[in-house]
Amino acid sequence: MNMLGAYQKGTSVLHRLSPSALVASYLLFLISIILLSTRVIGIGISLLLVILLYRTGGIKLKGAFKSLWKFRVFIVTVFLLNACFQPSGSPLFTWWFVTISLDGAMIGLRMIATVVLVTLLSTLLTSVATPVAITDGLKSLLHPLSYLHLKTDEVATVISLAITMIPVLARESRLILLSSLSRGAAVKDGKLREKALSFVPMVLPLFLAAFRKADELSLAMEARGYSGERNRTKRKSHYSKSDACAVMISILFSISVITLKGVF
Amino acid sequence: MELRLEHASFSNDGFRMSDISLSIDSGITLLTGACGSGKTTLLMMLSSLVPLESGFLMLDSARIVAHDSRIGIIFQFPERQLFATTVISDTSYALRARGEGKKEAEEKARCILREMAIDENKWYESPFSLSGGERRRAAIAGILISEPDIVLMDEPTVGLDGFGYQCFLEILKKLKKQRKTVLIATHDEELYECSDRTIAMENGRIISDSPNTPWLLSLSERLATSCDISAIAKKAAEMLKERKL
Repeated sequence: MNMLGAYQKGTSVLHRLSPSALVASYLLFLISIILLSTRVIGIGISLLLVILLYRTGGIKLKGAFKSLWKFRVFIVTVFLLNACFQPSGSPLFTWWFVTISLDGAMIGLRMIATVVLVTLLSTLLTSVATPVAITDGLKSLLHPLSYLHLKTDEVATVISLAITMIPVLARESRLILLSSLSRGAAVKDGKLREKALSFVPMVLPLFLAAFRKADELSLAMEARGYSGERNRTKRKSHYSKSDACAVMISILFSISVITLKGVF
Repeated sequence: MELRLEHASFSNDGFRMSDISLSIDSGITLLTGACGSGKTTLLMMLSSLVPLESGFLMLDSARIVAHDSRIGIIFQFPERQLFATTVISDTSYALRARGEGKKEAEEKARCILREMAIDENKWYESPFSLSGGERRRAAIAGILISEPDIVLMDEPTVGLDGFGYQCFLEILKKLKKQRKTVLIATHDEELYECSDRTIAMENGRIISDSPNTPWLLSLSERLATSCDISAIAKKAAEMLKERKL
């Protein structure tokens, strides 16, 4: 099963793209998906795009959906917040200050669809590219900003390390959860307050683990001579026809979306 | 108390173990093997905390389908699971989660903290103010306080200093005296002498399972070049097979 964020080895076209082409294409497709999310037909097109990209990358979409299932509470929360608090037409249901209308529900569904599609696209990126490759891609794209004296390389490194930590912390959280369960921590019955308090044995050690890992990693990097991005060997990028094709396709798609947005 | 796995399969973080059958009973059993051989995964399968993909887990001939509080598990670096505001409240947490009163739970916590040689002056301080070894002992106390009949441990001696190690050996002796079923995943050869049985694993399979007899101890002395108890267990299994005792 594809843990959200975990790299999967492969030899597909996407795996062989240069980092900067991959990240540039990802960003363009991401913007396109967000622009298309205002209409149902646009969401359908975005879904087809995601399916096509997954097929191209040789990554199982089923696995990505399974990983997404873990975030169902978050997704339902997004839906409810939009459905309940978006001012719109005639209400379907009203309780106290909460009003759910058909329009609000549709907005909520569109929001969920956008969140799911964006997450799937991001998962695909991290499945076909290692954190190092993503960092290199980000660095290349952000490099022009360094002429404005912005620390773009350091920003790219921070983002890459954060991505790397996702599966590490996921593993740690699983062990913490099992350890807490073995001590009787999970409260299935009881008041809401008791249920909320039952998560403390899990949440606090996880936060501590994250801070500890960050602290240890920073010390380890310094001990190995890392001092920011000054005087570091720059990785040479090799571009091929596939990279040009990928970027062209993503640019054309984005232009089409912007141009035809009125139609959707 | 007997804990038995029957033709069980499970995947942990991409590592899969299939058709594993194992029975452990009273006494101390060591589980050895190289890193990545499946020791932690096997412990998780035996812990009743995770659903098995196939097969079943039996505790004293009764099938287990959900977590059983008679099975306690101490994961690697248990001190990383400390969370309460005081040492005593962290130690007594498992009992209070089970419904015991605060007073009774804390009284039991005091007893076990005394056995773990945690200074009384530190009982009402934050567990994070303890030293590394003390935190380890406090965390183990928090798990053993519920007096599980079966205790599973994953590398319990890693990072322990001399005093902490001696405390841990005392805990093992006590568990053995109480006829608890203890399974320890470890690379520590020192534990060999106080254990009754050794199981060796390789690539997700159990490759040998033998009692720790005197001739096996002398074998380890003859195999002076290899202090790896999984290698010793493997060699012993080969010799038994060839009847070269």
